[in-house]
Amino acid sequence: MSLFAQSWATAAPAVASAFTASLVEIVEAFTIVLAVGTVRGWRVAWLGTAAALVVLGVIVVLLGPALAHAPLAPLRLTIGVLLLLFGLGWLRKAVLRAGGVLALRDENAAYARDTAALRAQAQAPHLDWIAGFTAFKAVLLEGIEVAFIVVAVGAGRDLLVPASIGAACACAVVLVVGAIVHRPLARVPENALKFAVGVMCLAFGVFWIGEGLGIAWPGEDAALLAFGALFLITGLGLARALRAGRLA
Amino acid sequence: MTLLRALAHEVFAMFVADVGVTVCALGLVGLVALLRWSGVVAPQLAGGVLVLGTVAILVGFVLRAARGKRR
Repeated sequence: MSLFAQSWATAAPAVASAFTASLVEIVEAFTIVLAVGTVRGWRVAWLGTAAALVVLGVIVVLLGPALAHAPLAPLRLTIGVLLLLFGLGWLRKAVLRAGGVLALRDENAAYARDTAALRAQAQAPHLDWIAGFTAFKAVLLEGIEVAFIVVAVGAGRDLLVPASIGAACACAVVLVVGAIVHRPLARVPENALKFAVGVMCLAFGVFWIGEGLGIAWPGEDAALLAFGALFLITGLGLARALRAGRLA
Repeated sequence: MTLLRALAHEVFAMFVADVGVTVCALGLVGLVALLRWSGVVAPQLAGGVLVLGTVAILVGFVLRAARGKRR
């Protein structure tokens, strides 16, 4: 296999995971920023967003070198455990939503709620700052989740740059589509994406924990695909059984 | 302070969505680490415990949540 193909084969899961996970988070942040922009004006929405991105950039710049110098095995173990917890949470909820036990997230309803809350405030200039802060908080909080995903899938194997590219592409996609449709991206299959992200995070988590504990997985990186397939089949099977009412 | 509290809550909620899941997952990792470092079982077997244990936690807590909702 050529060096390029080998590099791509290694980087592809990181890029795909970062892209998919970031897509979900950025859509949620976009809904809030859209609400702020629509109700209070785009200047405050963009200012709040830009401020959050600056803060996120500072966090990443400060943490990045620290991670680069951390000992590899403990780093992989720690990231693996965090991914395991994150993935279990997301996949469990995604299965319950797919199985009809929990309601699906509705971006239109979230947008309506956010705009109503912003409109309920009196029309006073200083409240633009509150609206801007709302945008800032949303982008910062969702951005921290994106940053975690990028670090988690990229830090253990020098794949921070490919993972960052995946996240940046997701951001670009949401911004371009959002600018065109100018409404909440309610048609994004959010639960399906969260299902996929949960599967990927669990697969990466188990993989990194094993690597951190010195377990040599059969097939090395190919074990990631096997774990992903196992968790995907388990999740889909559970969702299907829940829908059929067999697990009441 | 409100922002810091919101940040801390967000980061906490990312990893501790359900206390039971968190406790079981950490317990599983501890068990696998113990198996691996004690040398009682082969490393691949410890890995198998990790994989199957993760599946078991997922299945168990989905079932628990589904039965809780439907009562």
